[in-house]
Amino acid sequence: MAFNNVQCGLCPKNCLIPVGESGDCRIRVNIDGELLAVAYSRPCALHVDPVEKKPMFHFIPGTTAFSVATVGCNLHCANCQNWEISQQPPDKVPAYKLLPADLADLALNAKCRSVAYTYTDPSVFFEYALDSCVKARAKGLKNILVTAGYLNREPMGRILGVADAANIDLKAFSDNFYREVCGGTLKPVLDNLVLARGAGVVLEVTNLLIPTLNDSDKDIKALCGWMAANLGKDTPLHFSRFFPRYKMKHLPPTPLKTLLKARDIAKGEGLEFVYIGNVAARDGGNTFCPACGKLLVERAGYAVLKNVVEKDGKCPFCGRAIYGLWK
Amino acid sequence: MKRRSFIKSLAACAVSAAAFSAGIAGSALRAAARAGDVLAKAAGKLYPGPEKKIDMKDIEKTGPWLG
Repeated sequence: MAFNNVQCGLCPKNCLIPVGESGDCRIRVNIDGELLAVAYSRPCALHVDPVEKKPMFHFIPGTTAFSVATVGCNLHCANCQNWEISQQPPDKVPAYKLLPADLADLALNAKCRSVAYTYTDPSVFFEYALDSCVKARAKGLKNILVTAGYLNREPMGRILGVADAANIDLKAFSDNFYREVCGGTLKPVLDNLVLARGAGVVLEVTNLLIPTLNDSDKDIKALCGWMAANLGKDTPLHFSRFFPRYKMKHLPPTPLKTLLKARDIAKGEGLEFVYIGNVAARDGGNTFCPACGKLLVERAGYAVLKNVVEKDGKCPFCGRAIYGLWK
Repeated sequence: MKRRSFIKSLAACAVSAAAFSAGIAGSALRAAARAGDVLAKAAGKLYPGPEKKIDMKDIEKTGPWLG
């Protein structure tokens, strides 16, 4: 039986999977010596969300994204906010039947401009996301990946090739954090962030600040400095507020002052578009022109109250190009 | 003499273990497909969980999940 093991090459875990068992993600299974994606065409979550919820603030603002997820994840973050679907085996989670072509039709019927592969991680429902991206693009829809970016380089390159935008979590600028809190490693994520920015998709980054674990001035400065140097100062960064969930109920929610401090540090490192999410904060979700300082997009929660960025992506006041896709 | 023979046996064991591991890894690599080519052939039919029906009224609501 040992000789019917299969090795999954999708993510850096490269699981060696015995017959009848699954990889660490729970949904890639060795069935009689063949590696199969059992959640293919079986999403457990389908919703129409504002694109701002992903969060994507520089990608066709004010539109909706048809959001899809299957069960499973290759990381096991102790603070996971979506653990009821990401950290469960597939036999415990009800799922729809929806082929990639039907998914695209459903998104069009719901008048969405894009499909977002989100909530859990398209890294693990890779084949379904990849095929769905192709079908969606053929029907004029945009594709958004919302991911932890914990994928091997070759599949990451392939899925970026059919995506238009990505919000990639940079959970901390610490390998220890990735190992101890998430069951992963930092380097593949950094490599994939660079790959994504180079691939030409609209890239935004999210960093969830967890009290005592990744919220020191030193950690935040290191993360922002790396982003400015490796992704470009115009890459949007979202600092997100932590709430006690799953296996991390012993920590308090992130104080507002920590989020405000993080925003100041990020701006000090030269990042041009820094947002604060999961909390009501003055100007937390607003976009300002980095050149003239004028307000370009005003947001309240996920709602866009005002957007004056020109369709070609320029500031109407000074003509500065604003990173993103605006029409 | 005894010590030498013990070391030889130990070395032989190590070689066998390495060969066995290589065998497993080799077989694993032969069986594995390139990431992205791994498709459930009977799309959707291998899912072990319960099925739920698509209800647009439910889908058109913003989801409870983050992201």
